[in-house]
Amino acid sequence: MNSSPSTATAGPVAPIEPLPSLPRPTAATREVRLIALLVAGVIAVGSSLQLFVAPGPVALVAAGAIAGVALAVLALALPGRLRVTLGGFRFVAVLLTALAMAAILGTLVLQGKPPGLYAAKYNVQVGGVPLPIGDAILALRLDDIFHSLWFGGLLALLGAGVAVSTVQRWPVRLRSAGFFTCHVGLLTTLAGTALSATLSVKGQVDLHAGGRSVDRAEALVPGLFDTEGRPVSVQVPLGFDLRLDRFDLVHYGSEYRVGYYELAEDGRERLRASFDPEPGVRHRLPGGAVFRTATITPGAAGGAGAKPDPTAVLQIDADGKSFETPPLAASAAKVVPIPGGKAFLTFERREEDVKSFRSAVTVTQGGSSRTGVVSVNEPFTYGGWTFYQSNYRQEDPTYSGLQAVRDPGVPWVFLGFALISAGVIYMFYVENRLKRPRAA
Amino acid sequence: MLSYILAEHPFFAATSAFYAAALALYAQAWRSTKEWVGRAATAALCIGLAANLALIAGRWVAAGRAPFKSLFESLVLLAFTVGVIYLFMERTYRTRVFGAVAMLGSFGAIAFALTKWDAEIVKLPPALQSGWFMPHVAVYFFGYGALFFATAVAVLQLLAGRFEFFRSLLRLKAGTVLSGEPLDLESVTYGAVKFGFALLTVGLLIGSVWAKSAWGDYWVWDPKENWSLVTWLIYGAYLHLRRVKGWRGDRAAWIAIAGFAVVMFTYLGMEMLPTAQESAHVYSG
Repeated sequence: MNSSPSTATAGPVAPIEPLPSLPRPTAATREVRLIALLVAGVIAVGSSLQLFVAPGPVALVAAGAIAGVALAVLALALPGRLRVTLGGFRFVAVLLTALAMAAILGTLVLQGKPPGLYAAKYNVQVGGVPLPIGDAILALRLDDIFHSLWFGGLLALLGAGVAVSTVQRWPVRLRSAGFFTCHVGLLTTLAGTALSATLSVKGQVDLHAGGRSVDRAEALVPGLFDTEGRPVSVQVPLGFDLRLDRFDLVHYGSEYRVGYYELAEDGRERLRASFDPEPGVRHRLPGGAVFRTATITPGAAGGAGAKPDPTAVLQIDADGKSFETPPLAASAAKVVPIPGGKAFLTFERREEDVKSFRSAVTVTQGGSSRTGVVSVNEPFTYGGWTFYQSNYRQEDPTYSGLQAVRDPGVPWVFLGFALISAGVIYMFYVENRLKRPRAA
Repeated sequence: MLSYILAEHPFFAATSAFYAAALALYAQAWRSTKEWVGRAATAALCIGLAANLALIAGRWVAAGRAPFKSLFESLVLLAFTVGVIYLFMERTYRTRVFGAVAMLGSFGAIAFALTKWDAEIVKLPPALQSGWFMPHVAVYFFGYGALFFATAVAVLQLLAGRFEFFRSLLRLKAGTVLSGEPLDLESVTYGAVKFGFALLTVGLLIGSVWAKSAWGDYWVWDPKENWSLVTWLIYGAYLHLRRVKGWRGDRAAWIAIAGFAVVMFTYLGMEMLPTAQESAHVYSG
């Protein structure tokens, strides 16, 4: 604390001690400051820009690409702290952590919903004071984090860092080929996702077996909703006609089980174990009782299209008693109480779950035609479009919903994946063997 | 319930019993100077793994598909991968010091599976009927096994820095350290994280390729996808920070532990997220 002139005492004037100089920041400290500046700057600039720039994949990719390329070129053209920082391990580690935080945030806040939902769900009142959290989410575009400009900025920084560190490894040597390959793979993947984001088209095609052909897909415009909160879509021409010849809903076969149920404290029945009703095989139940299927009689179908209705007779040993049940029809699902406990057995038919759904389609273009089958995990590709089985309607067996996708980024993304995988494995398990010192 | 499991699911009972025996024997090997204790622990683990493999194979035959669908089935697989990875590490580093902790993982997974018991084998929905299903899950769970091992070693590393008992474990020879060479816990953790990270990378990318063939998108920012990415990013940060001065030792151990906490959340915690209903990956079991 400085003393004021009025309180100064007479006497010899002491020489003024020079102020202790602050320690000069170390190179690490300067690097940390630059990293903090870059990351915080990108988030701030991105958040501000998106107030004026309409959101969307094109804006995101354009802004990210411009920022990333400019930064990488600047760092490579000007040797110094920027290049060292961008190509350094600390920078990438911080960026990976920042991206992880963004990814976590994207799972805490609902993404891509109509604007009205955020006010309804997140605006709250605390002690009578309104807290417009939903409005804040919309203002900061936290409702669509992964298409926000600040997230694009973080990806741009990552791309710049990866590019600089990769260029620094040029020319490639066997001992650094893994690092180089992995990081080229990352850049290839980023480029592929940029292509996907800007050039891909994803639409829905609704078809009916034996119905009319369609020549266009209905594509949703990402992040755009009408006044009633419904997603906005546009019609995209396919360039050919697509017809559904046949739609098959394949179910798993009928299955019959002996179910062991216990009554929970809330009175609800809970399936605890389930057994194949193979005659003669003894089974121990969770409650300690034993049963076997004495006989099983295949029941005849009751009419055209009706399912068989087998009956089973169970022999149960429980609580010192042994008894046989009357014939239990699978359709009746009659329960047999187990003596000495709150449990019962039943002979029942399981619902036939859907195993697969398959659409046989025909494509017609300029007088020629081609047939194909679309099912889940087995898409059909024609004329640059790939069709994926996406919908069916239980109540309308002629309907099939296909997703139509045209995505020029996919080959690049998958090439990037292959390079990343190969690079990581080479880096961890081949490079270190090459680096071993030779025996004298 | 015990008599039911013994009678109806003998391989589950055998797996649990041998993992418990291995856990007890590996813990005993911390104190015993007799080599047969350590050998018996490894033998119990091998028998437990054989029973676990038989359990998986039997379920595979009964279900007619890879038994990785429900939470119960995945926990049985996790117990197996943790044990296999540990056995591999025991051979690699020639020590049984980590055995008790690893067996805590295998036995813990089996014990937890008991609380998530499947009353009935469920059928695969169309989206899971893919050639990518088995490699995607298997690669991930071997990765989880390696990362569990890395975390266990990281915990021991932190404890050894604070408590004499754990420091003394690392000097044990008979029954535990087979080579007699001092252990560098940090490098053991690093080796396991590298292995786990490589598998996470391959698993993540296989999942992405599979998603493309099933749904037409290789990435949809699904909550489970996001958390898998978070796991990958955190271990990526660990691997990068190890090359930065001042980030080895305790700091690196803490990051490895944090990474595994995220792994566990990704595996078991999705239902807690407010966006869980948006996910196609939440376990139904």
